[in-house]
Amino acid sequence: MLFMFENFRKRRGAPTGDQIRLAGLLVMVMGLSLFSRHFLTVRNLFDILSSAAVLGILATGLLIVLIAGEIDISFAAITTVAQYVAALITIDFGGNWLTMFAVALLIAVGLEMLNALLVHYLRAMSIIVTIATMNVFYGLLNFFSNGQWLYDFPDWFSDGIGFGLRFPGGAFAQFNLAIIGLIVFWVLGGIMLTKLVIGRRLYAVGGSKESAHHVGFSILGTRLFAFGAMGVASGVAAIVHAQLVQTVAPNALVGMELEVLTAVVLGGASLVGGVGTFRGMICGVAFIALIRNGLTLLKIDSYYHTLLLGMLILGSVTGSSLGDVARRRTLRL
Amino acid sequence: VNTSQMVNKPKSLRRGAQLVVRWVPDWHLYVLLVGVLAWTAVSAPGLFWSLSNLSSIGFQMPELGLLTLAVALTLISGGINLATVATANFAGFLMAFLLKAGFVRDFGDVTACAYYLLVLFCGMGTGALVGLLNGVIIAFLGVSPILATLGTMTLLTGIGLLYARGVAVSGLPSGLVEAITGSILWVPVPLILFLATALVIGFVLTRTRLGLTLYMLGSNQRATSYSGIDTKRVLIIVYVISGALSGLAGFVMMCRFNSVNSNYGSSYLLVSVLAAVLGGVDPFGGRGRVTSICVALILLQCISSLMNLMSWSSHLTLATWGILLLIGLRFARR
Repeated sequence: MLFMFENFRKRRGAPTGDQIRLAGLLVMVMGLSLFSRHFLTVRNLFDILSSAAVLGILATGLLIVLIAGEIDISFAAITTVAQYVAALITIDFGGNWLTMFAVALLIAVGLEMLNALLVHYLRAMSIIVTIATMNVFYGLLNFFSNGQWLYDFPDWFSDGIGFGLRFPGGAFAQFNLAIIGLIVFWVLGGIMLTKLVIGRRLYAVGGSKESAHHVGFSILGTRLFAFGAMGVASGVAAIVHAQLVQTVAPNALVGMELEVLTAVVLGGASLVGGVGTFRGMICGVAFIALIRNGLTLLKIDSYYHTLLLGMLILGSVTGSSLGDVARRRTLRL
Repeated sequence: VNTSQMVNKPKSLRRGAQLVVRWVPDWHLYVLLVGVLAWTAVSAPGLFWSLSNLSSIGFQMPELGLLTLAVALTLISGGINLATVATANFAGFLMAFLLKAGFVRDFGDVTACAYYLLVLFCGMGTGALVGLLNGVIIAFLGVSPILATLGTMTLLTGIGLLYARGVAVSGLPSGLVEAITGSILWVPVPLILFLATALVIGFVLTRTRLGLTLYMLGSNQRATSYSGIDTKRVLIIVYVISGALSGLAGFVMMCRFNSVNSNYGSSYLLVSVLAAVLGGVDPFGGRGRVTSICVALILLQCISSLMNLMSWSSHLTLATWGILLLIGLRFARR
């Protein structure tokens, strides 16, 4: 059904949202490489990748939650909790990459599952439930940690993992933990969303809970899966972020939730559920990463960044909704 | 003989409880409030019930209260306004600019008062304009309210950052600040402002055509439209009122902090949604009462003040508020 609709649209020649996004991205890349000679270098591209890694990983998780028809505001708090506890255990008792990831993932997935259960059994909107749990998680973390920063990491953590790659032209690319994590996460997430049955199930439940329930999908199961995936993203992002900045602060990610939401929404995901593509999400993340990087390279005052981001959000949101109206008119829907 | 009495007593109790549940809307809030007040009586009776503490509660409540009313109206209409705090700070910048422009230096008291009032109206007007922008985007372009207001929020924050270069704007006329942060007959002025606003909003919601339409709109937009109501017009009015209330909140915040900055009160954004929903506003739209919102606000402030008096961390307050909302969701009528 969904695919039929897409073919129909293509035959009529109207570009899809993802095509528009990709075109916009290309225009941006061309413009930036025209105005800054540092932009289109391997080194800068890898810098962009590693600084956008946390955003990209979290955006994948949030996309899955949004497709399933829910929304999560608490993931930044959960990421911080997972990061803090994993770092604390590693510093106090020692450990290795495996234990660190295991602790972070266990905590993040557990707390997200708690979100899913609360949403399901309180029969409340997920935005409200997760606002509540966000306050609980942040509040308890700050209470127990006294707002203390952690930075006494063991050497293996400070050194990080990764490998370098020398290109024929002499350019050198450094694959660090952030980039490896991002690539692995995107490959797995992309396969899950586009190729596996569970991905289709997310779209079905997000599109219409009622129908999906009658077809025989478990709503609770899908919710647990979606929030669990967000938990996996939070756990991975927690370690990647800690490794990148080498400090863990209980307030390091405050406000991150709205930035990630912006990226996913710029990528075309709908807050109603059932709509959103993996490609689109990557475009959304790339938009934000390129704006940050490009404006810095163009030496534009950082005070303009938020303003331009706001204009981009408003423009793209109204533009896509105008496009919907026009499309409906041509299709006589 | 005894057994019949034992059976009778719980029965009448249960009937009483049923009556309360049926006739007192959002009864769980009152139960929670009584519980918290009992807790204060046990743990810090002298400190909590002192005049200074009660008036400090009265000073803290209005900012959050006005922002909560602003977001609650949009929640009742079935949408949400995430731009409230950003609008408040944006209006605050404009008001601070007007106040510092130096028009009042040589005036007498009466003209200064009139000028302050004019500035307040300018602030609320700015908020209303932002609300108009939100409303037009939401009503005519069909953008989801979360996205539209997220966009305006980022835009306004950006403009504020650019204007002030991230620094707080201070140096407001001390006469105004002292007047607004003072008390009339031991009642804090911001509290009077808030109560007057709450009365007006309550009147609009319960006694006017607009209020009724608002509830209808929140329950079912399509049915409201089919019953001959211009839903787009009502939606725009809601966001305009919400914006004007944010502007008023910006005025109170400006006077309380004695300065304006674009990151002031950013923690209020999600807390105001929390307070509104705790106050019985249905996030799906169509339900919500100003009285219950006020009770919820009192409840939250009492907890905050109590934690403060017992010198517990303010972070624990946030956690308690979150748990309280979860409890409230459990008992909310649907």
